[in-house]
Amino acid sequence: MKYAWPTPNGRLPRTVIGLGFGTILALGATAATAGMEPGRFRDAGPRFAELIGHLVTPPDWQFFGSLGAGLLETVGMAILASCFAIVVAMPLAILMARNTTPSLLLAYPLRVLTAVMRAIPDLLWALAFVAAVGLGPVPGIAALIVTTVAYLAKFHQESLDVVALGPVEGISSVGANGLARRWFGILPQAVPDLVGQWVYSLDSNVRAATILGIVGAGGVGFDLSNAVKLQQYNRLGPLILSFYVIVTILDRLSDRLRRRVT
Amino acid sequence: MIELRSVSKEFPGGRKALDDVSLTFAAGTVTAILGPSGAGKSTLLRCINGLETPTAGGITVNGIEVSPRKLREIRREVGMVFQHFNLVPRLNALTNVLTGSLSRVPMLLSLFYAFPRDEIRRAEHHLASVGLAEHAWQRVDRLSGGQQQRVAIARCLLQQPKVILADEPVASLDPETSREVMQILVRAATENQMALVVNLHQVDIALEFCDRIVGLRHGQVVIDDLAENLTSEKLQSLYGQS
Amino acid sequence: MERGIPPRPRSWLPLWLFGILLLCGAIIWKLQLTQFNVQEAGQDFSEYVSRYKSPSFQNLPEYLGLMFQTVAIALWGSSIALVVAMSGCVLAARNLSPHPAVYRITREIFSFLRAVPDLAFAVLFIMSFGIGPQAGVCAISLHGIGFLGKSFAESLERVSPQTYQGLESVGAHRWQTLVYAGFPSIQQDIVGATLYTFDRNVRMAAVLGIVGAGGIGVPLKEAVDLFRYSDAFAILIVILGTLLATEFMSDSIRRRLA
Repeated sequence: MKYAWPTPNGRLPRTVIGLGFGTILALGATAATAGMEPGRFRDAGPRFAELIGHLVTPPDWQFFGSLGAGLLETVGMAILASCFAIVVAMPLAILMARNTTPSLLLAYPLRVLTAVMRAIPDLLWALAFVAAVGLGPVPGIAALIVTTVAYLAKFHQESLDVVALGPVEGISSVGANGLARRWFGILPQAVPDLVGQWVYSLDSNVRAATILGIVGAGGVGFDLSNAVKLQQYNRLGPLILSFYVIVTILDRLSDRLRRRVT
Repeated sequence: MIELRSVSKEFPGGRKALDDVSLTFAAGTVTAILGPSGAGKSTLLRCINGLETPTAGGITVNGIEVSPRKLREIRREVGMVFQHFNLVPRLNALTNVLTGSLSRVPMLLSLFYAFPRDEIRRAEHHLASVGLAEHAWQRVDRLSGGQQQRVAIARCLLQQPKVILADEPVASLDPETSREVMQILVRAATENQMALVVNLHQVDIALEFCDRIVGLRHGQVVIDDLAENLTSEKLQSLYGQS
Repeated sequence: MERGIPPRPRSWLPLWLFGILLLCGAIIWKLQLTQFNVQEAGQDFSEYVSRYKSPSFQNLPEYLGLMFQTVAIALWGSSIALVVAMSGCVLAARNLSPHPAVYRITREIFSFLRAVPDLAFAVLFIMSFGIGPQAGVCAISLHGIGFLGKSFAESLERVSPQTYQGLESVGAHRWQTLVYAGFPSIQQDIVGATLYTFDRNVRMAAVLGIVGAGGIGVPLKEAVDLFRYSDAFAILIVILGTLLATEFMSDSIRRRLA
């Protein structure tokens, strides 16, 4: 062999070989299950091209009124859910974090609980809430609140966990009691992190809210699934574009907000 | 080896960094460029390896005219040593040295980190010659500043350039390490018959290690002499108030 | 006497809080949520939850098979996204892109793919593929390409220009610069973002079945629609177990690499 790798034995490192082979094996083993058959793709290609062709039609101008209303509802749901979730997640995180919890016996069950809440995707929560209380934005908001609380509690907990204990000790040395120590020593240090996470939660809730309507939980997703069912291409195009526009606007806004805080 | 013919460089703001500079640097010689900051030392080096284009005059390196179109060709002939080493922090020392051979090894294989065995052997040899054989498998961000600069010198040697340009190579090192690094750099260049041009701000190091001193001031060459001929008055005129 | 400490800067916090409260109020009014009876809804929900009494694991082999399909969809989607994003991110990094126009266009494509929810893509792909996992894989890869591509490009932009300059100074080709200076420097970001994406994709693949794009979501939607609560409960437990396992796995990989 004329060629070698710059490693002690001149061969590729074992981890690289293992990772490469492992991935290829895993992909090979799951190819059939995931439906990766070239035939399906050959057939779907032209149909997909046709679909894209359909999407490039003059939009249905009359639809824009209800599209706007749907988008407003979507954003409103996200804002409301984020505000509620922040109020709930803050105390929860304080109870869960290593250095602020009154007792680890309380912290661990809460951590498991939020892990379970996180594990169920928001769309499934929405499905359950719709089945329980009926169609409309309320089950959607409830689903968003549940998942957002679970995520925010975890993120908050992690930021509280890593707060340096130096300033905290400074405050306890002047005789502050437990609660005061927690609030004044730890929280302010985590604030930039927390605000970033709040902005992120709003961001991700708007994304999530756009599709909740597919199961009837309010927002613009309802229009999406209708347009698909009825093959109203002149509505599908504007819908997808509006997702892009609204998420982009939000991205820019949250970027600016985050930069001001940190 | 390097020839500058009436080179001038004017920046868009109207500031003149180089003003009618004509110099030649021969193979196997060590030249220090001295001068107060802002005198045009960095611009001079950047013009030689094509990072900047002079507004007037011409430069040839090893017979090749420096122009934006021949950039990679020029850079193959010109080794650079930087103040901040410019290594890849997360790669090990030997791989960092091997990057010096990238312009001549087979492209496709290099993208998979495979190198010809003789290049690896040469890289190991250069790494040993700068005294870092036992650190070959360490990530360079775990090495000290002096060690990192020695890795960078080894990379430069593997490149087998005709010319080495060093831009403040010891400015971020402590005095003792500075001497060590300069010694290695100068020895490597003279042994391999390369022209070495070093920007420095420490006059004592320049006088100790370099054969020839070029003094720049406001972009003009005000001193060009052998190191042993240099008097303190001359140096004063270089740095003193105008 | 003059005080040494300058006056405290005016705090905008109360104003912000007031504004947010006002906004929430407006939203509640606009969505007509006031007519909604919270107590009644709570009763409805607890009644609904009580229907999920005992899980029925009769069809467990089928559920496990479909869960495997869900993970397979996520794996293929993530892998395709990783490969495409790795090759495309160079064009979308301001400092490495061959041309500013190329940079703008690829960035915008990535943003677009990232902004459109995978479920929306899935719906479109079902229109061309028909029901099945292919639509799921395509939807997940498209969204993943957007997410990973943008995040890799941003990481490449954060790498110090000195690192690139060192490679350029030895006469390295543009691709070599990328492979030797770019990718090693952002290796940790790549691993982190990819694990995150895989995690998220398993979650996503579990719900894609709701619109018919294969995986465990298909029988779940069916069971919920047909009021077969013990089946639905069993499926939920399978999903929950898998998701907790993948989250635990990627968390521990991340911790070992950190």
